[in-house]
Amino acid sequence: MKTKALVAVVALVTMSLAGCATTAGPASKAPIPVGALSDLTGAVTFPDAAAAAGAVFDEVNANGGINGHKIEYTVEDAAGDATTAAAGARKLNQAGVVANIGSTSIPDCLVNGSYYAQQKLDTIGIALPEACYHLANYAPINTGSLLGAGLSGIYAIQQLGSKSVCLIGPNLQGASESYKGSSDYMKSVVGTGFSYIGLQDLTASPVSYIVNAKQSGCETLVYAGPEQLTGAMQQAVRAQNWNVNFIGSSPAYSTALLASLGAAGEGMYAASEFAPFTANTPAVDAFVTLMKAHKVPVTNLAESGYIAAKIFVDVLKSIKGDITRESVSAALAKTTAYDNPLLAQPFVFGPGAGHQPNKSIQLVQIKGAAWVPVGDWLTAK
Amino acid sequence: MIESTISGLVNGSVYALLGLCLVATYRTSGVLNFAQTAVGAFAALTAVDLIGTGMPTWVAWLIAIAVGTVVSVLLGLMLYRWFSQTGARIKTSATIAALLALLAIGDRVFGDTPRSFVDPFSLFGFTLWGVRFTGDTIIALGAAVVLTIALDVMLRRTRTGHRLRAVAGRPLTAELLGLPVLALTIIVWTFVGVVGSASILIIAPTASSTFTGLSLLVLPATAAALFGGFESLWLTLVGGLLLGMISGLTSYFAVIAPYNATLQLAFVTLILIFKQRGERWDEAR
Amino acid sequence: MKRASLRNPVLLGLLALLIAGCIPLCVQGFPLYLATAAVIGVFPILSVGLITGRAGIITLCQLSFTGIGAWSVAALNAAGYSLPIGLLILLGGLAAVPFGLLLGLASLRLRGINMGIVTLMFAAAAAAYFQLYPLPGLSAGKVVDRGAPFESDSAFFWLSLTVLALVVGVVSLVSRSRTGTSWLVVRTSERGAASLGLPTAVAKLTVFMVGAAVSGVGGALLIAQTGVVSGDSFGILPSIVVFTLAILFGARFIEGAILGALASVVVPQLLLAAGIPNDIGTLIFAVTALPALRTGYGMAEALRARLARRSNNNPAPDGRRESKRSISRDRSRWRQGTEPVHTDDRVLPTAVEATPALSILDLSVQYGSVRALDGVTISVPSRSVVAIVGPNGAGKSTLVDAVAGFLPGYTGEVRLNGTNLDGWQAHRRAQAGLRRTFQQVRATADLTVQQYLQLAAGRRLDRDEVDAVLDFVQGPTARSLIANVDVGSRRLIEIGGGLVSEPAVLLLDEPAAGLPSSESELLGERISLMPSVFKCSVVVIEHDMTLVHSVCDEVTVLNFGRVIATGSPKHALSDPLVVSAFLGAE
Repeated sequence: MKTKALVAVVALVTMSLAGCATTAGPASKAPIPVGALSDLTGAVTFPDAAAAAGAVFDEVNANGGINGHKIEYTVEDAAGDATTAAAGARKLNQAGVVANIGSTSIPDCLVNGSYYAQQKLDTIGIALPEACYHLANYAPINTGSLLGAGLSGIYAIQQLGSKSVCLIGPNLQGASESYKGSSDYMKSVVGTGFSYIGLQDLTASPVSYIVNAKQSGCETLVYAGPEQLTGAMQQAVRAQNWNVNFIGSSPAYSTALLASLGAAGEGMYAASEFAPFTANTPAVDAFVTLMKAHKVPVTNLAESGYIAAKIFVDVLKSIKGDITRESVSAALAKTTAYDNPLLAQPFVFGPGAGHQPNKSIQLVQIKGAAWVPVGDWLTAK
Repeated sequence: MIESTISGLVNGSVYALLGLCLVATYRTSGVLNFAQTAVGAFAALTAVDLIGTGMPTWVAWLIAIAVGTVVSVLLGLMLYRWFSQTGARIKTSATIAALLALLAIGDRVFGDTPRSFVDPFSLFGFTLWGVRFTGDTIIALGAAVVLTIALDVMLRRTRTGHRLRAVAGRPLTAELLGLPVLALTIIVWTFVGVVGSASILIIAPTASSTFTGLSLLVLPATAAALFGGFESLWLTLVGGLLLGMISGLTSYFAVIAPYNATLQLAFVTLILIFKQRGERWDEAR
Repeated sequence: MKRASLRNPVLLGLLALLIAGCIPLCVQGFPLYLATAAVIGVFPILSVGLITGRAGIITLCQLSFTGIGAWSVAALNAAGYSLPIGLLILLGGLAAVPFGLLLGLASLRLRGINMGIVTLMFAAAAAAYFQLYPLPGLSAGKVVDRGAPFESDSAFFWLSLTVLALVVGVVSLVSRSRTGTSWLVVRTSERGAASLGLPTAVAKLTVFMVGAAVSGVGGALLIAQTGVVSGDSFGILPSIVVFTLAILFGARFIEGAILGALASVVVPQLLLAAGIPNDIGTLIFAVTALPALRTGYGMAEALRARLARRSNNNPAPDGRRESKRSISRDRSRWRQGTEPVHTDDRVLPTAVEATPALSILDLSVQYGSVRALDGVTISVPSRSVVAIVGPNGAGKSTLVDAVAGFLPGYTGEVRLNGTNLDGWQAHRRAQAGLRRTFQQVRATADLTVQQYLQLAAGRRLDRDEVDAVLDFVQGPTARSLIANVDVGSRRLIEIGGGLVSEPAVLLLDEPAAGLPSSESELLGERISLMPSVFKCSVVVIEHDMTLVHSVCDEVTVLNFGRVIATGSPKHALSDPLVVSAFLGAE
């Protein structure tokens, strides 16, 4: 039995040495490893952004890659779980990715921010928690819940003429701080914050929060929840016979939700963070065509992954010499502005301890069973 | 404040109905089934997906209830085959493992894409203290009351009821007495499957919309069942409504609203400790 | 020799430690991260193993304790204290202890599924707090600094391994202590524990506190590993997963916890490599846990059982005695009155003593409207054997329960050697020298005979003492596992346990039940020798009239909760009232 153990030890050592030996240096025309960390399994999943980014990279590869180098895109599953997310980040780092593009994961920013800083690994991803906006190596492509809800409130006061606006959102980690931030921002612009903030318990009916909001006399209700919960919320509002302007978050701007709500959704707003994908512009057409060709659902999140990948390809093209993590990082650290027709303002990564390149929302509304843009971009100072 | 409290009845009726399902299972099979609502959630999401394919609602509901019932019977047979000789603690642990398995399967099968909620009961309703109660809540409450009465009568007045109680209490003795335990087990879990699935179908539109969310409704449902000591059906009904109203009331106070789970914990622990205050020893003798 | 060294847990542990310690020499980066995660994953699983595996209390909130440990470390860090990592780990463990204590308090009255419900709701409540108050410094990106020299991944791996080794060492020591052994006893029977003089409350509170501390240490290591941790890791589902893993792998034993943690890290990676989604791993764990639940045998238990079987096939290395001994030899030996234990100042029982060993005065017990005992007065002289007989339902067992402290609500008085015991809890009465056995055998199956006797004695016993007592009661060998001996022998072990504790009074509740008549006769002889050999009084509750006639100095007859006759067996049992009571009942 002792010998068995000895054999096992020897085998372990040999195996790991063999593992170490296979790490080879970059060769010419070697592929460019690019990663993403997204919640692909679990209770709430966000696969669209990485799928869209993958479609962009496939297209680039089909056209000969970046100076002949193909992009090798690896998506790790964070499963909505912090420990899995931490493991995934280390796995990507081990694989030598030059950057993470299109990451969409709730725990990613929370647990991996300091690791990314330590490994000098940059991400252009989608910020789900507010923490993503306070990391040196993470530039979210989206406006985010704090600013998004705040701007929605401002829109309600300025454009819809509401005197009182309420905010309800799911009680996720750190959400109460974020909602308070939205209210403070709104107050700093229009002089009044949300008159009621409801932290929604996700295992129960939202009726109580709606009744409380109704009692506080709101004329507009901003809902900060994800697409999956918006339908139920909208339905519960209608069940109370409450005639209120309903503004959903950016993910609520979805054709699937439109279909599931049917006629009941008529008049509902959502705050798109990018150029509305239901509009008819050449840039939107290009996006929709590519998504359809790769069988990726056309959603807000897909759009964000698409934009992130497009910008990243521009960054790669701007690099003279070898494409390594260092050269990518150096290119991103410059204050170069990358224009993208789907964004309200140019994208700048740049230096700094936190990044928020996107500060705009564009309201869309369901009119005649279709999402229609209303008004202009609303941009925070 | 009254409005908030009253609005809690919407959740309260959900808790009460699901709590009654738990008590029904417990009294007829001797098992606290933590996987109960997950089985129902399986049925509910099946229905939603079937309706999504264009199937008529009532057909989808029937199929969904059948699916939930099959899952329930499989669970019951597993408990009968493997765990009939073990104590309640082990049986409960087995249902916890079953809950975990169902959650994994549910997430895999149904994912988290938004569902088109066909809510046939939301068209009618009435208003009480400024809160509108739709058909869902009325039907959930009605179903809870009907279930309470039906179970009460069945368990106390019918021969099957007496036999079921015997099986739940002492499965081995019942088997030795020549009761058809296997047949009774199937009857129980079919019944529990039908009632549990139908209940979740009724409450799904007003409650949570995800598989995990629906499955975890087992927590407040357990609290409601505990209020009736896993015995009294009427107290379970009251407990569920009370619990819903308490969380409705707390939602009014922004300061304590997020501590709903803590309130449930306190509610349950205090009730339990009060009930068990004399239980100094683990066994009677 | 080789085999023996492999069976030695300390050596085996050191060998495992050595092998594990080599990991950073072989791998770096991601595999080393996973290895560290596996080491840290052991803590919560081990903690379920203690509470559920050892003490038999369902707990579905162990990751809440992990979260509390991590949260506290994060809070200290965010507040600007830069403490050495060792201290942080210790504080993380300590922070979870008060919460463990709270649940332990609940477990004093709540059992079985009720504890399942309460711990699950505790997990839900804790998860809500982690949502509302994310780990301090999380959003600001304040990282928990490991400090020199633990910045490198290798050093941190070794640190985690060392902490695990220390925790395992401490847990093993505690498990072997009287309190630690009492966890196993409480799992089998709380009454049984109290009858050995073990306070059940202390057992439950300590197991919850130790379990919480182990989990909390894991939390501190977790946050030290990644610098920051999201509160979402400590929700209900992770706790349920850990519970399932603990059952599946038999985390009652340390190797089970290690296997569980390894599986929780390796299986998802294997699945990923095979292109199978992550959540299938959970499904596999859940489904495979069912057979383990059913048999009560996790992988570690199954492994140990196999090893034990194999060792039983081999001749015993140290020449211990065969498990079946010849009865006749021992019988003759004891009949001659040779006694290896107490050969000193043996005093023959005298009829009149200054104070009786046990006096029961006017004892009454009321169950609702039923008066189970009604003014019972019995005096048990020092060094005597007294029988209490009566038809079924006469109140005999109620009397034993009341006297031994298992029925707090009686009126009247119980005195032991003149000391009033009223208001004393059962375990204190046992400690004071009032011991009892039960009709249903309650000896803890997981202990060896020797361990059980030591626990009963409340002190270290040398081998001669153990053997002497086992010889006296005709019990099985000292090293046999109680799980492997038959019910009759377990009863004898319980009686032996009562005797080694050097009691003033030993209450035997139907000691001959279930014994064949030859052994029952032998037991009778032993009982009559007990006062002289062990210097105690014996109270026997019995149905077997031959036994009563042959061993007792005095008999008290109960009927309908009242004493209807008392005196010498011959005299009392021929009382017409007694005869009619027995005839009427049977």
